[in-house]
Amino acid sequence: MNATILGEAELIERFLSAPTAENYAMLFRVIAPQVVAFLRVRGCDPPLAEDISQEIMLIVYRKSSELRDRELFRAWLFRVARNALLQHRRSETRQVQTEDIEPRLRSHREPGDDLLLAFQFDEWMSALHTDEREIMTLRFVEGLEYHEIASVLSLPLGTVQWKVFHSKRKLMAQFGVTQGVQNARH
Amino acid sequence: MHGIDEETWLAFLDGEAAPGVEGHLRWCVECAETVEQLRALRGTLLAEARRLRDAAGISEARMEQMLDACLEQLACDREWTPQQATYLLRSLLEPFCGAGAAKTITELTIRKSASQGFDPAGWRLFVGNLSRNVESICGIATGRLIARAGFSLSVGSA
Repeated sequence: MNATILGEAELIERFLSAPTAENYAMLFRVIAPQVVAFLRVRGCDPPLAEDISQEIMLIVYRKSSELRDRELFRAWLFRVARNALLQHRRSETRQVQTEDIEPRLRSHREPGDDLLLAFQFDEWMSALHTDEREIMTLRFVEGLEYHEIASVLSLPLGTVQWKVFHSKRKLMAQFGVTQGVQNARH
Repeated sequence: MHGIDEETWLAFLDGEAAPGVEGHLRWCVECAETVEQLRALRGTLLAEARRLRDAAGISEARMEQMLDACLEQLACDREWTPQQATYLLRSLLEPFCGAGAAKTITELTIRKSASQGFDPAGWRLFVGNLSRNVESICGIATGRLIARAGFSLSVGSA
């Protein structure tokens, strides 16, 4: 059966109800690219993003039976992805004896190998605090709903809503509004 | 802001109906302008995020390679029989409550849970029940340990 005929929600439901290799493969084709994008957007180069994605997709197969609320599959998936990335960064940090993870990753970014640097989105996000940046990226790039973001980051729903609103106000104040921002860049 | 509470503004900006806000926007130029700017910003963010997401994808060929590698690895995963998996959990439990209690809890839980057999759904039910039973006797941490161990086992039919 062609995965594109079924929506993502149906594929998730199918896989969780019957975790067969066929259902897994159909779901894989839809969500693996999202996982790779999640990692690329957070500074991983393509080979690393693919390696970590593969680990995450194995966890999806092995651990999804633990998921209590099927509606929160996407939130669970990105929480797993986030934890895998943090774990990778921690192990990398231990290897190079660096103190702070976030600034280190950002300082190592070079135009040639960093996807984000080619995009306006990065410039906007750099105006925000780390937590706001993460919330806005989950909201707009991963397309998560507020309750899903709250679940991924273990935050109260109201906090997420408020931070999205506050971040937008900040962006408006910092860059002017949309057309102006776009014109300045392009 | 202008007599409208924050929660109502947030709900309105998320597309929920808020007659009070709509009425306010008809005469308040300042708020109408801010709302319009926020909506425009949202549209721009969405468009830029979509471009970024598209650029961050992978080729179909590479994805198929990743899928093949995952399926190959999963095929190597060991599948336990229900008896083996139950024995493993019982062995894990013994240091916490003693061999006798571990045996009793496990057997009682099997009687309670295994009427539908140990297909994957039956196994999940058994592990959930065992975890709760263990929790009531040995504490939350041990119950959770049993749940984590049980759910991580791949169990096939006997």
